[in-house]
Order: sequence, then C-alpha cells, then structure tokens
Amino acid sequence: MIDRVVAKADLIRSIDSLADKRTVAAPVANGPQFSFRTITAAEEIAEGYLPTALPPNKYLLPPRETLLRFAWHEELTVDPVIEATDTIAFGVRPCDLHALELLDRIFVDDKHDGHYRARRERMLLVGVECLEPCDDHCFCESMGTLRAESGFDVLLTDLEDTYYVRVGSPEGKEFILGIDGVREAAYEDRTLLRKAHERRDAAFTPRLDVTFEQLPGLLAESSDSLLWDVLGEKCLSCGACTNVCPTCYCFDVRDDVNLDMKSGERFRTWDSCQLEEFAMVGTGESFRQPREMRVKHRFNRKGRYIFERYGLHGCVGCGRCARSCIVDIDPIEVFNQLKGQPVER
Amino acid sequence: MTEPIRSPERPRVALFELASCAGCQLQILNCEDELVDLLQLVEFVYFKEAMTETSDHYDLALIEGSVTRESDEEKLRHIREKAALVVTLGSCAYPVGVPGLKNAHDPDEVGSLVYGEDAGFFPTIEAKPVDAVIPVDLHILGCPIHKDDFMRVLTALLIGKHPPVPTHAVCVECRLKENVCAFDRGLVCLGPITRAGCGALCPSYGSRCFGCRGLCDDPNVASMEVLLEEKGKTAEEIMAEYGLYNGYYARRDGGLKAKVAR
Repeated sequence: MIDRVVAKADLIRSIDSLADKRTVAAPVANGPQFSFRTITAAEEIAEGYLPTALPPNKYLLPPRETLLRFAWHEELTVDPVIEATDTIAFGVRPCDLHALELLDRIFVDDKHDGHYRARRERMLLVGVECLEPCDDHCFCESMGTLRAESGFDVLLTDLEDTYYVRVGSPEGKEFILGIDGVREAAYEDRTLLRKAHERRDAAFTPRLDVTFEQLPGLLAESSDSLLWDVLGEKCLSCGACTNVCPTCYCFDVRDDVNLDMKSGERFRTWDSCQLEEFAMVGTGESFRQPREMRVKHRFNRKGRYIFERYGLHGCVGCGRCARSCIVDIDPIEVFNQLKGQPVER
Repeated sequence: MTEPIRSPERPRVALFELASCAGCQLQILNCEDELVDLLQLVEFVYFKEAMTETSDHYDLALIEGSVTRESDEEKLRHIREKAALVVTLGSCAYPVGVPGLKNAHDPDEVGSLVYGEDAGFFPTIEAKPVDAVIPVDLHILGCPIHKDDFMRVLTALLIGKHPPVPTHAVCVECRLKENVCAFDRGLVCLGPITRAGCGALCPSYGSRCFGCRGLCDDPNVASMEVLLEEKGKTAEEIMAEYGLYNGYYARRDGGLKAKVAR
C-alpha cells in the first residue's frame, strides 16, 4: 500500500473531530505514569510517554467482563453478552503491536473467542514508532520488537512537523485518506524516514546478552538454577508483573447469582500464574505452590513456552513488569544472570 | 443443570456485636435497594441496630467486633453451640482492627484513660479476634465490610457454593485500576500482603493500604519486612504499621511471619 504523509496539525484536527463520534483511546499522563484512556480532544494525549500502566489489551480483553446472563423462571435462558464499540487505539507502541499479534493468534485464530473477536473487529490500531528508548527497563531491541512490520492499521513515524504513515489494512487506508491534507509520500519523505530510522538504530542497543531466539534454550537449561530460589524469596506474589504484561492473557471464569436466586451472570476476570490459587485444583492441591516455581513459570512463559508454541514473542521487552515490581525483579537482570553474567545490583 | 436454583427455607440469622463501632451493621442496613429481596431469603431474629425482638434460635450467626471482656468469650462459646455457621463481619472481628490498638499499652493505663476512677467496674482483657476464641467458618472482611461483599457471600452460602473470597493481595486490584503505586509516591503500603476484595479502595483515593482485611492467603511477609526496612522503617515502626489492624497476630510469638508459616 502507498505510504502517506500527514501534517501533525491536520492529524490533531482529525482526532478532535473523530473523538466526537467514536471512542478514541490514547495514552494520557497520570502522575509519573501513563494510561490508555478515552479522550475527547487530541491535546489530552501525552507526549513522550512510557509504556502505559496497563497495555491496550484492556480494550480487547477487559479485566472484568460479563460473558453471559442466565435466568431460570419457567425454563433456563442463557443470553451471551458481547459488548463492542468502534474504537480507535491511538499511539500504540511497536512492542504492544507485537503483543496484540499474539493475542489475535490465540483469541481469534486459535480459540475463536467471540467476545474478543467482536471488539477486535471494531478496533483500529494506530501505531506510533519509537525513535528513542523509553528508559533502563525497556529491551525491545533485544527481543526484536522495536520494529513493527505488521499488526497495525496505520503506523506513524514522527518527522517533527509531519508524520510518515505506513498503511497496514484497508481500514487504515480509509482512516488516513479521511484526513484533510494527507498526501502521498515523496522521495524526500522517504529520505527523512530513513534518517529517522538510522538515528533510532543508533539509539537502541541490545540489553540482553542473548538473542530472543536463544532464550528458549537458555531457559530449558536453567531449570535447576539457584536464581529461581533467590527470586522466590524476594517475590511478593502481588501479581503486578502479569497484570501489566501485554502478552499475559490468562483469565478465570466465575458465576454470580442475584438475590432473586433465579438469575445471575457468568463473568471472567484476569488471572495470574503468580497467585497461589492459579494452579489449585478442586481438592485443594496447588501444582505450583512454592513461590519460586511460580516465578520460574512466568519467565518460561515469557521467554520459552509461548515462543515454542506459537513462534511469536511471549515477551516484547516493554519493561512494564520491571517498572511495576516493588522488589525490583527485572527480566533484563534475570535473563542476563541466567546467561552467567551477573548484573550489578 | 437439571434443578432450578431454589431458595431453601428461610434460614434464621442473628447478628451479635462485640467491641466495635457498629459500622458493619450499618453497612447491612445501607443495602436499601436489596433489603426487601434479602428478607425473602433469610429471617433476622436478632439485630440490635435494626429491631427490638430477640431470639436464641438461629442457624447463621454474624459477629461484629473484637473480644475485649471475659464475658465476650462465654457469649461466643454459647453462639458457637447454637449456630450451624459462624461468620464474622469486619476488621474488629478479624484480624482484630482498631480495638487491638490497646494491646500495645498497659491495660491499667488504658482502663483509667477511658473510664477514669470507675475503671475498676469495667475489667477488660487483651483485644482478640473472634477466631482466637471459637472456630469461625468465614470472615467477611473490611473496615467496614462492603455491602456487595456481604450480599455475594450470603447468596453463595444459601446456594451452598464456596463463597467468593479473594485469596490474593490488594496489589492485584490496585494495578488493574492503574493507580500510581504508593511506594512510587513515597509512601509505604501494606497492599502486597493484605487480602484483596476492597477494590484497592484506599490507594485509589490517594492513600495507601493499612491492612484492614488482614493477611492474604500467601503473603511473603519476610520479603515485605525487608522492603519496609529498605524504606527506612525501624522494627518498631513496622510493628506500628501492622498494629492498626493486625496488632493481635503481629504481637504473637514470631509475629505475622509465624501467622503464615505452613
């Protein structure tokens, strides 16, 4: 598809008018951190934002979601609940685009989850390329997720007064052509893009001592590492790391019955492998009761199991887990220590 | 599912009050939209804040408040014999809550501070949670309890399913609200070891967790204490931190770490 260029002022005007008609979600500042929120005007969008507290997944797989309502009067009735609205997710970073590709694989291609799918079909992803590293916790360059070649409807690159626009879908094309003043990219624009990418490539350096392709092997060899015990002693099992993780998607399903005792709802909530109850079975045994086993499981999910199963990233190097960990457990340190080059604390 | 969801015969419910502010009883009375439905399901036979009638025949005993007198202990043993199910309401009943603050002081001093010269007429003992005296089937937690929590637990008990009490820490709910972590706001917070279910209410309003719901199922108290020390808290300050709600168990031998030892 043809690349385009749009002046920033034109894009801002367009977002202002779209926000009147559709849900436009974008990163908004919240104290020292950022969150995807529904905005009413483009000026609310934060500049230079770190990865948001929760990833944009929350619009596709909400932390709590009613799946169906049931009632038993004359007979049992069960009504599925699927709530979806047209949503533009603006300002999605490449790391999150990679994560959403994984979720699409699981919830659309693999599991045919009607709830996720209905929302995904009505979501337009406007990605924004990263041109400089977020902070010391990000390691997307090492995970191969700094660059996004797919998974977006449009992908914007900041060229000071304009955005260079790559189009990834017919919906993305419609979106970008709907903006007044948009034009086809010319040779000069492509030169500016190339220079921006050269500056970016110089700014990002690998943070891991292994490549992401080597992580599954490293984790398989590290099953008996003492590091898991060290981390297990430290970990608070507070579930922050999995809640904020863009590739975590585990959920629990429960029923609530109303006071009439004849009706109720089935809902799902995000779950976490870091919680003791996660691997507990009906008779009360937990398959991963020791904390260190839970920590080890998470790192294996992130660096090994998902990659082995789907060929996609189980970790996109966004650094959210490290930023949110109260006791400073950081995957960069963990992977590098497993590789045998301890990181100074 | 072959059987319809059916209400059993209305179980008889009695609500008893020990040392507390009666705020948890008021939370039940605050369920204005649900009270009519609730009374279709259960029959209250004793509820001091709401009715004058009394009865000594009940299936479910709800108990609010801490044990602070020897007579409370006798009362509890009597209730345990009578009731098929004993459920506590609020932080005073478990893990001990505000009445437990007095345990940090000399009992005579506390007595005369409150009752002056008449202190001798009001002998009190160390404040204890209900489960330190009798076996308890379930705790409805919080200071005060949340009315939705009360309704959910009650409907679950009536259906005969396992009541939906979270086993994990407050942090889980706090992160879902995208709150800025209290530790990143220069505060200390008991969220990492405190049982969820409140929706991280206090941190969501700019405060932090004081531990009113007691310990979660699987708290890493040892790591928590290292963290609090790193934040500059002395052993005394850490005890004061626990003391507001968790004073009873924190002051036992081995402290909160012993409380969770398996």
